[in-house]
Amino acid sequence: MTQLDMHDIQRTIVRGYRLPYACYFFLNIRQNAKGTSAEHVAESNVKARALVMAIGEKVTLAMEHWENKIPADGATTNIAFTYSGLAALGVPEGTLHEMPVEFKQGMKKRAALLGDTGPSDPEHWDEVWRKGNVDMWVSINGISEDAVENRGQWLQDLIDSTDGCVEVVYKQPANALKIDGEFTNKEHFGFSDGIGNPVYDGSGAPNIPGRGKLVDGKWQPLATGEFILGYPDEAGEIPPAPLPHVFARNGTFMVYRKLHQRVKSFKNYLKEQGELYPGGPDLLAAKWAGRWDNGAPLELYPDNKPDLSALSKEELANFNNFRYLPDDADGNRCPLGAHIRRTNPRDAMGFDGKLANRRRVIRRGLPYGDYMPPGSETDDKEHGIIFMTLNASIIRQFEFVQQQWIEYGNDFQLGNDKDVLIGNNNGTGKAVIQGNPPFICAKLPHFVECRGGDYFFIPSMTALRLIANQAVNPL
Amino acid sequence: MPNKTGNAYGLTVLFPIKSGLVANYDHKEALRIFLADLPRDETSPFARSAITHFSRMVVVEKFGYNGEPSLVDDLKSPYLLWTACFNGDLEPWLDLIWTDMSAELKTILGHCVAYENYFGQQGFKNYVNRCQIETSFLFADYPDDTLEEVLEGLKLKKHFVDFMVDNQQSNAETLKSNFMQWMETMDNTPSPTPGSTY
Repeated sequence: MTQLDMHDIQRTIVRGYRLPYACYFFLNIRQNAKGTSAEHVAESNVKARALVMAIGEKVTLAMEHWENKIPADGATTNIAFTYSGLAALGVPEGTLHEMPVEFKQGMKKRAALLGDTGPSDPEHWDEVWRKGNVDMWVSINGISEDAVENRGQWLQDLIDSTDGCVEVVYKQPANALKIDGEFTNKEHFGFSDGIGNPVYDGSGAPNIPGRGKLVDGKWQPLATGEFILGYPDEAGEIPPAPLPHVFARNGTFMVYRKLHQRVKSFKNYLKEQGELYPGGPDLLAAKWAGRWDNGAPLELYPDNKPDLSALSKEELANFNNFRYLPDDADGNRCPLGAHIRRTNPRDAMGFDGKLANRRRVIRRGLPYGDYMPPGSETDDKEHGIIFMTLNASIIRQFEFVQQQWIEYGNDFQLGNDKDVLIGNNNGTGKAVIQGNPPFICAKLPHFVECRGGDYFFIPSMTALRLIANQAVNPL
Repeated sequence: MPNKTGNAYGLTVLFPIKSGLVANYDHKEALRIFLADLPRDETSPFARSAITHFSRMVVVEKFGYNGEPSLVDDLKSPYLLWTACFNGDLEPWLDLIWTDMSAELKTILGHCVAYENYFGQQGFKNYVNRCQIETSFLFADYPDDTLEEVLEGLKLKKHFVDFMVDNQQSNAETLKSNFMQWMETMDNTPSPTPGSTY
């Protein structure tokens, strides 16, 4: 088993916080804040690096994560950089040059490949993402609004002390949806979210069945190198990463996407189609997702939504313990194009699941915007999900899943059908719910619009100090 | 049979390319320029008849292995690699291809070693036979269907989905009458053309 250096790895890579409040700060390094001469740029650079060092003091680490310890003030902090951020901080060309091309380009330039077209086209993104001047991401999660606010003030004070050399260009609040006074794991369409995260070697997570890879028919943790740089991956190789080795090791890449949800359109379409579908709207929604809205998977509960309070602890812990083959090769229980079957096909394509093992991503993030009770849903207000994924290779993992499995269906013998929930359907999409007879959802609207985001590098603590000390040496 | 899977034939040919210059280019470059100008859509010469699932020509020179130790296989000459997938046997397919695109084939093969010693349709077939290599590991998307059947199938699939969507709620009587009408419409709807996107 791999021993991870939990004092060196940022906690968000190893385990999500499951805290109800968050705020994501996006920072710009103003290299010309003092003037355009080399001396002035150097002065800005010193202040920006001093800020990185200061933030580093409070970065929440992975150690003792499994006891889920949260700092005494109830808030956590993590930090990551875009390509432009690393460059502005003075990471040498030799190291930058070896960064993966998709990270260098950033998410905006990858829009066509990702299906970010039409209403998701970068020209419709929020201003901050259209401008593309985000250099740093600093996330704060907290047990309360106050905890996030206080930690945010600490951050703002540090930023103020840079004398204008670093500025906050955007703040994205996010929070677990509060329904009837209780925090939930729901997103705005009504599904329980964040259930199927992968388990990898060394993370310390118990080997929960269904969350790793299949080896001789048994579930094992995935290779560490699928999610953290510097360790062997599922190909038995150390994932490609920039030199020096110590710069990349214990870090990873993060995709940040702000996904706006058109809740009213979703609910209306579900109602309309649910009246036609023999199983009714609840089952139809489950067929789109692959899980009932309470998280119970169709593979285990194909006909009726179980009452969670009636399930044993073991049954609840088994919500990922299923395969698609051999019993559901035709998709009669969980449709071939259901969201969870697309994003993690497990063994659905045969070969004991080996075709899925190199396409897994870790999901993080929270919804944004307030819960809208039935009848009050809209399409237009600020509500959606902050979607963050972590992977060792954005191009091989996130981008592949997005391009081939969300926005296309050929691997599942579904032609060019897209994911119902998050596919860029434009009113002409269709989805087949297998059954006897099958049911076809046609004229699918798009329910989710990308409003922006970017690709980030989450460094280890060692790398963070190397960056702050301008001590990265690629030779 | 290693060149066939089901009824599909997988052709692999390596034509050696001449050395020396033609105009300002060597033969290999002149060939690349000519191939690059051939259309790749429904106006491709390979799409003149609905007989070919897939056909590709590419100039290959050296094969490098960038591991340890790194290796470069130097070939005796550059080669024109021709791979194609179609249904049935090689000879009748070559006859049809010659009928469809003998002008292009003469230009292309004119850059290849000793083609000038082969004349006409029979010469073309002999030349291909001479340079053919065994495909050995053939994957065919449609091992049993002809291109015409595949194109017709694509048409029916597309329109049948629309029919299903429109008739999901129809009762048996309406369904039957609509289906008969749909069948008639399909009879009068042409298949997509080879090389087109559908």
